[in-house]
Amino acid sequence: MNRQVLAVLLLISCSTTAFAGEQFDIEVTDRAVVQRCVTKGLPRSIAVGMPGGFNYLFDPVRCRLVSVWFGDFLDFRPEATGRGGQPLVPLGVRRNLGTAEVPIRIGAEDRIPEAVEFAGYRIEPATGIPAFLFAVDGVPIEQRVLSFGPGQVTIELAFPTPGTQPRLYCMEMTAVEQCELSDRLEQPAAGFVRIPATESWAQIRLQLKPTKESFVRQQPTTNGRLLYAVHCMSCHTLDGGKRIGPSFADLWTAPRIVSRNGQLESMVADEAYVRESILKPQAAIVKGYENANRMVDITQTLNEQQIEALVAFLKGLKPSGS
Amino acid sequence: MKYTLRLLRRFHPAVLALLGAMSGMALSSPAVWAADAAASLTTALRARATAELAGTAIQSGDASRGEAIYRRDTLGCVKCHVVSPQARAEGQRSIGPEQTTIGDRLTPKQLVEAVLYPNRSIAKGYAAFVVLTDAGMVHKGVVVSESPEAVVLISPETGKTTEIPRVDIEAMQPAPSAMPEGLTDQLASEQEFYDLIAFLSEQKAGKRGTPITATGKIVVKEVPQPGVSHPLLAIALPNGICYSFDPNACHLVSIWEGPLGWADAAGAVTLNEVATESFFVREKPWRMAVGHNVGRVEFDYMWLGYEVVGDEVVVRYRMSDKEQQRAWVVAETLEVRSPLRQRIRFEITHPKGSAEVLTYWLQQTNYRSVGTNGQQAQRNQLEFLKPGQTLFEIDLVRRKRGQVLPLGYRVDQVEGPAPDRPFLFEPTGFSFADDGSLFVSTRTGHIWRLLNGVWTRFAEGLHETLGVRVAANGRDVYTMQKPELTLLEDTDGDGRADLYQSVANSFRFTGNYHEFAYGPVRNTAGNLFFSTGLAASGHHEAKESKTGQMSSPLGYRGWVMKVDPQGNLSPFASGLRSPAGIGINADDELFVTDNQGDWVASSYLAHVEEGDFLGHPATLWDRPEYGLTPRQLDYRSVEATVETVPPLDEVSYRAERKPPAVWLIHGDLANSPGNPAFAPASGFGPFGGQAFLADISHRAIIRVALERINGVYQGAVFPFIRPLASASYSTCFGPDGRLWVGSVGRGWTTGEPIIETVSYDNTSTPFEMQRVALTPHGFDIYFTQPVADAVGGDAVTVREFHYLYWAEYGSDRQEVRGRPVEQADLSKDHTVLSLRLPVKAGKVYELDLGYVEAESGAVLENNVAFYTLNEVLP
Repeated sequence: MNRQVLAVLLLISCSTTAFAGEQFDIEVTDRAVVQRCVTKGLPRSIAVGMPGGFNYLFDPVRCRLVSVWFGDFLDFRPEATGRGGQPLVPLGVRRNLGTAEVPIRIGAEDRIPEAVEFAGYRIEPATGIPAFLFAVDGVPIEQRVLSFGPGQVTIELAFPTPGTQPRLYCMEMTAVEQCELSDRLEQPAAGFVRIPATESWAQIRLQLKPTKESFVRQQPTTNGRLLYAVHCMSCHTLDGGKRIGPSFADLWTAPRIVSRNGQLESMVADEAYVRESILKPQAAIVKGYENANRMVDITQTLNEQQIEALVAFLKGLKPSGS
Repeated sequence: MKYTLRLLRRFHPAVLALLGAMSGMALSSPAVWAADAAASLTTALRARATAELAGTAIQSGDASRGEAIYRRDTLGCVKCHVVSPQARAEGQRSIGPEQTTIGDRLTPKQLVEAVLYPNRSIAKGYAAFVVLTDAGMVHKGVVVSESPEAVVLISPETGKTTEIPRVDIEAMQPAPSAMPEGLTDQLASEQEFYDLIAFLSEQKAGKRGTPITATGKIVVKEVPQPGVSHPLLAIALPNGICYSFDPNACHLVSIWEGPLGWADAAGAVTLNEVATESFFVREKPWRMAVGHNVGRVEFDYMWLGYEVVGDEVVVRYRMSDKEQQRAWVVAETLEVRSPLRQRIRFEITHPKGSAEVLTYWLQQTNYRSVGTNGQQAQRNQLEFLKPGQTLFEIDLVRRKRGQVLPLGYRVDQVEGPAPDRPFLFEPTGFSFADDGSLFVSTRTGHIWRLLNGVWTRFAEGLHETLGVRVAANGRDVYTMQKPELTLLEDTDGDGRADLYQSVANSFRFTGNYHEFAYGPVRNTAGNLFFSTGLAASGHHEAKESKTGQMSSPLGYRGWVMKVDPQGNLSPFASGLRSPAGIGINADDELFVTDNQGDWVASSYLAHVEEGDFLGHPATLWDRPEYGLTPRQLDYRSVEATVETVPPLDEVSYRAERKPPAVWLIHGDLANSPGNPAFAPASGFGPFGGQAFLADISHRAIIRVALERINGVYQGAVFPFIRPLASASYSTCFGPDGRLWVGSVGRGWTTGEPIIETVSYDNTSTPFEMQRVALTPHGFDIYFTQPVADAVGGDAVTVREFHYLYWAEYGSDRQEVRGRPVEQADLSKDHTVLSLRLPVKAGKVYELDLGYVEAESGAVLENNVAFYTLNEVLP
């Protein structure tokens, strides 16, 4: 094939990549996954997803564990679509474990550090589990966060160089039910753990209180009109014009003749009918559209709230006379 | 999928039971449920390589069985796709692309992909977006053009275009393909899939009936179009050239050689679409100028009909302005001299007493040259009619069809790693290691390594990496994340980075999507440099800014930053807006590119030295004299923001601003340039040391030849290769002399993200302007080959203009003036053309060479240069 023909073919076959309707979740399988990203309120987030459904956010500015959640990891769509750069969405109820300040203090619990230097992280090759590397007031620290069961969070701190002063770890305790410490660690006050200068390793095991909150996945929009335009408009007009499917003109409470299980029946377009038409497009087919193209299954891409919003929008399409 | 099921259970507990009952009925078993079953045909087919499926379809697919399958109701293909001219003649609308000639447009492999993955690649012109405006209006259509100010959508169904100002846009979303996923589950067997692909791949133009040609006499065919009132006029001329005119939007559509199309037994016409080339005339192309706002007033159009006059067709239409209801009548004729040369003639009847200036919208950059008896203010888009002018002519000289590619160069595509959802492979930077490995950063935060033709993932989970650089040890890899410059090391030698070290992070990052960071590059002293972009909105809009487009949260955004070999970060130069490219030349000199916007008249390439201020004032508040940003940010100050900022002294920063070395000419050459890659002294043809840049919007490679006058960089920018296959952005010369080009797939423009390489054969001599040198009397143009004849001064059109330095978003070219060439002398060896004309500092000179041949017979395809003149010679 000569080059010009190739160039022309390239031009002709030039296509765009569409993302709608695809899932963008980052899946965690047999290795831990680290993903740096923006999350709401934390532009420099480091999100970690561990095998088994334990996830957490680490803040490299104050070198602190911010929050944890159990279940799925992250929805990457806001980064992978459009111009990207939008906050990613953790796919679980976040439990806050981080105080606003730097959690590690050297010497005394009220000594706010002068210098906090984030040095990066080391990935354990076999498991993908990260150990965060940083220094607080010149003391080098390595931190890992693990979980050994539902609601269980283990914070591990290692001090590669021998210290002269005790180190303190400070936590947000609202979500914590029980706190266990490794040998020789003590709790001088609520939310503080004291690690003697002689220790090169420390473990803080937390059992979180059960939460009644359940995670509701947020989708980009619940604007009914926009949803109509994205998902319905190609086939259903609002003005009575005929496309692949029946028009939505004057839809609400309008009489419809539909074919159900091969039998014609007459009904009004009420909430139950509209809902059914969205969830089971083939259950009741408007007369005259029996052989029309099968309706695209939009439940694959829309969530509950979005379907509610779409129904609410369709509700507004009242006959002009009423 | 699982998630959907969960939802539905919560919603309607009876759904699953019902589905079970319905699954026996072909028509009512939604593909999604079938696809959920492990044994579904779609799943089985998707598990196989598309090339293998295509191969089987070619060998064992039966096209006639395939046609029966295609027309089957349960599949519903014909509901959306027109596959025969009769269907179109019967007024069937094509919701999806017509498939009458799909076999010409798509390879069997692409057909397999299109059927199996309808959302993966939507045919050009059918990928829809939905825009919701603040006023609650919804527009759906295909994006025909996008600018920072507005989005223009065209409705595939009605052909209507709508321009929506960005300020009015509340939300914009891609719409999914109307073609359902999992259609193949409606097929009874794998063989049926092969039959269907075989049928589609045989839908080629040549098979569609009797060819229509003009034998001695002009032929006009009216070809019905979906969704519009008037049929398209397709005209075959006795000279073998055809063109089409759309009476609905009153514009020339396309031109082609060969048969007009094919007529079937019933007389229905299939156009020879594969051969067509656009006129680049916008729909409803006329506008009326009001004051300086050229082309802001639109017209209503009324089609008056056409008549054949001799060997030409005259079309007539009436335009009325919406406000005053005055009418202009246009009689338009196309004179087709050759496939490459045409003239559009307009006879215009103006309403009584009108003195308005009309403009005609033609994308001139797509032509080799455009001449007119009207006025031509910008090369980019508009032709101007003088007030009251009744006879208006536009002479078009087309470029040769296809890609403009200098002789001796070739473009190849490099296959990227296997698709890895959700991490699209968008190559944002390249760097070669000592062992020959190529490291590639991607926009979704992966670092890939290509060694001996095998891709492996070196690092992952990074934050929008827009650059990569192999460290001085030839092994470790620096990459620029949005919030951090990071060094990646593979300490255990397993081929994957296991140590992610933070090298520099003490610059502000507030999370705005536009706070990009680019780089790094390294100089021979071992210093690293990277650049940071301003935020798209938020804090501290420059007080002078009327538009307030971009802003700085302070903390060294809009700066070039330096990291010394000890790892100390320091601010280096300010004034950048969206500096998407940073590069370093063989003499260790640093260059950045910036993108057009507020305070940036056009995209540019600038030479950067320590302390420079390049133009965007929002970056100045970081300077020590304001006391707002510490020189070294720590963990407290890196997140702090400032409530108020003092006013800036506009007089002093105007005086201080360092102008770009070369404007990259928004509209003509570069709208969104990436980094400059400096060519090696040899191995890339006669352009050693010159800068090559890729541009996202133009999908093109441009070339910059710099020179130093009075110690200041300036020079000329030339087109080089266009178009590339995708939205090209990042560039890098490899150790083998090849230019590697990466492209992005989304954002400001869309396309398949890929890698292309440009290589030179080391023997051929391309015919190009090698460089343009300033002389005391004008310019010397150096050619790579001897020019055929003495080129007269009148063969070169010189236009002079400048840009405004202001808060508005970009600047039109100001005071565009033709500068007559007083004298033109060709050197004895015919390789240097000296132009004598008066020139001034602060101006840009467009040198438009029109049609120039070399002694070898080669034609100068890249026939325009823009010279930015910062300093004159004494």
